[in-house]
Amino acid sequence: MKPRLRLKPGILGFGLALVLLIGASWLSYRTTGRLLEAAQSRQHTEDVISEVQQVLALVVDLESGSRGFVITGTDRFLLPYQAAVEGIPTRIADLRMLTADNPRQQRQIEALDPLLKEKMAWTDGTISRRREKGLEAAAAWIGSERGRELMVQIREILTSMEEEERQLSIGRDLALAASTSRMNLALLTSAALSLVLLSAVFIAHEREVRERRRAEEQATRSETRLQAILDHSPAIIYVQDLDGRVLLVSRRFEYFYPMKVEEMIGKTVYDLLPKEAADAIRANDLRVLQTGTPLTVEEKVPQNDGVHTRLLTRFPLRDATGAIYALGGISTDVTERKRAENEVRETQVFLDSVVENIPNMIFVKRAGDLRFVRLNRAGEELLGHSREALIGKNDHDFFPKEQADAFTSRDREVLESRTLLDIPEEPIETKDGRRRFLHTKKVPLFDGSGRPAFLLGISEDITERKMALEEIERLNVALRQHSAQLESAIKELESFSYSVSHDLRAPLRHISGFTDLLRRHAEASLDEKSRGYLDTIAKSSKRMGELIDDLLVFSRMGRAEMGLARVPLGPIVAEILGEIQQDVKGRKIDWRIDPLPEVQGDHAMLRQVLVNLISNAVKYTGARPEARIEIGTQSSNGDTVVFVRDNGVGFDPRYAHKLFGVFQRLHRADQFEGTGIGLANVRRIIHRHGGKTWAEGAPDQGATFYFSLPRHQEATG
Amino acid sequence: MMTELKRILLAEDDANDVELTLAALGEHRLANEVVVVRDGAEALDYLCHRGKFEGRANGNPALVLLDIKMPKVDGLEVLRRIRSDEKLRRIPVVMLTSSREERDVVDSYNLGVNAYVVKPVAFHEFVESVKSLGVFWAVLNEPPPESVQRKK
Repeated sequence: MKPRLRLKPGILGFGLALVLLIGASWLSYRTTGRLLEAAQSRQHTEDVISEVQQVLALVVDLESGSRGFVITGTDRFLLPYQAAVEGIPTRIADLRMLTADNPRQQRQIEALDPLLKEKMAWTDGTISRRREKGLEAAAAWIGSERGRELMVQIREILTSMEEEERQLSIGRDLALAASTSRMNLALLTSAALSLVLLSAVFIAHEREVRERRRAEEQATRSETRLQAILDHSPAIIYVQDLDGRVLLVSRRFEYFYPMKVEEMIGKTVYDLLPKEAADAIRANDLRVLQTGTPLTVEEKVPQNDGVHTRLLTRFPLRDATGAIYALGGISTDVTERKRAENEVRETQVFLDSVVENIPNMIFVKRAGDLRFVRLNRAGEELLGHSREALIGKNDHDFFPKEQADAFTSRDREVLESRTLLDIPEEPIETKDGRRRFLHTKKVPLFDGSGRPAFLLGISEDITERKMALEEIERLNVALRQHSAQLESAIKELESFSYSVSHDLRAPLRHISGFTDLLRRHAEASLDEKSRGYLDTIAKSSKRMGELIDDLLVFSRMGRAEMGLARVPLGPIVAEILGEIQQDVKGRKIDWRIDPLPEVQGDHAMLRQVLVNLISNAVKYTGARPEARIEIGTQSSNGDTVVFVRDNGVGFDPRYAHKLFGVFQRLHRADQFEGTGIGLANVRRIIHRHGGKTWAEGAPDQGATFYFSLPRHQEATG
Repeated sequence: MMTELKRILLAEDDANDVELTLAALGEHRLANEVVVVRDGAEALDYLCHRGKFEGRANGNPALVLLDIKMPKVDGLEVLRRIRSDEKLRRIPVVMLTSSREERDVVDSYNLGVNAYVVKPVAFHEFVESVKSLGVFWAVLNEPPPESVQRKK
């Protein structure tokens, strides 16, 4: 790893610095030793020089003592002499030992030794002379050359020795000084180098520490980041060991299961799910562990709110050696997606079923080459071609050229205009060669980028309707002709009835008028029989006048303008009863009048209807000692029905259909007066109001006459 | 009874009707001055002093009784001419006709008729009607100033 690699120069520097320091210490130690040695050798030199000077002093003592004795002859002066005689050999021995390492000094000592002995001997001679021979002899001895020579030689040697030592010492000191300064340089150099190296190591170390701290911070951040990602992932992400114990699981887990993440750590799927579900999951775990390859499968998993579908990707985690040490998993809830997929599939099935079951032909063509891509069942049935045969082909493969050209050009028109095209009628030849007529609508279907991708066609087979329409048209023409004929016939009838009203009444009036005039003129001259004839003529002409009048009323009812207003039937009935009061005087009639509704219609005409029905009832109950007449209402199918019931002579139901005919009578005129036009008028008026009339009755059992009026009916001609 | 009789113009093509009408008017002595014409053209000639009536006495009738259905010029046309003529427009005109046709009634009133009477079939009713008409128009009604009046 990088930090480790970085340590190496540090260690190198540190080792180098250590070596340098050890070297410097060793040098320092060496130098100190040398300095010590130098000090010792300087002491040695001082010792040698001191010894030399002692020797010289003793020699001086030897001489001066001897001389004092010589001069004084006193033994007392011989004390220094004796000390010197005793001391000099010792000193020489010491000196010899001290300079044992210096052959030159040894040689000088060798030269000195005899001189000293001679000197001592000479001095002893001096003393002995004094003693024995006196002062002169001694003085003469002293004054001999030899004594002085000895002294000079001794002095020379001793001075040389001292000088020798001094030279030696100086040489040693110089060497020491040079060595010391070299050492110092070396020490200084190594110290400086060490300082530099250690500084470098320190700096490197500092940097190292900083690096490591930053790396640690980074690692911490990265881990936090990873944890955050894990915790906010919509998938459950987990790691489990080879035995299935959970090592790590993302927070999302808690959303789906009744357990905390912390609780789940160390547990297995068996602690979470029923055994059956856990077994299934574990089986897949083991498969991944065995094969060592990732596996993605959909699994049904029971969760808090029921069984969910989860898409689970498992993957093995391997250590550095490649051995699997854990199993990772990413589990996504795809329940919604599956449900949506199912919905889409169901919608698809539903739409297919709709298209298939629409009873009109539906076809789809590709925009580019106008080849069929879809045809529904109604289309197959209409054309006689199966969809397998049709799909992938175009119009020219199936239809006569003329038709195919027409279809294709309309298809192009729709795709270019991008709007619906309604073709009210187009012929098409089916597989069996029949010719059908279609009402077709063609619509462009656009792709995502708004370009027409398909052409949708919906065709209705209008062959039958077309035939029927043609038939209706033919019938209409016939009907129009017929209706024109009827109209002219009605016109003729109208003018006929006008003539009747005008032209028939005039002669009648003349018959009546002149009969009357005749009676006035010839009353007296006429016999009983003639007067009877005149009465009959008058009566007949009167009756004829009534017939003509009724016929005119009837005719007018069919042609008169009809008003349309709210007509209250109750007050009209009351009014009519008031008017006929005079006619029924003396009769016993039990009137039973129900509250009557308000209807819509022509006031005068409806009044006429009620007048006719009521006067009929009064007329045909004439023979009853106690007549009963009921007027009431009932409702039927939203129509208003009014009836007039009496307990009169009734009628034979076999002839009920004749009741409402013009001048149709079921009774003889001498039984009941009347022209037989009343009920015909009733029927005509009610028909013009859009209603119906009918009657029930039996001979001598009374009769009931009904009329119905539609609610909010419209007037009809 | 002091009755002031005025001249009546009766336009009627049917001789029987003329006779009956005159009989009815005569029965009540209202027929002193009834001028009878037999079609619409004659009626207009009379009113405008033309043709055989060129030299007739001046003055408009106090009442014109018009049948509708007449040869040449029908009653409605006569009425229309009367109402559009400055000298004639104020003459009272009564339709005396067999027609109960609503269209005739409406047309007559639109043209400004003063009354519309349907001739009853029964003679005594007819007599009553004509009498009422005669009494009202020839006796009670004050005619416009240009009418001829005669004292009886």
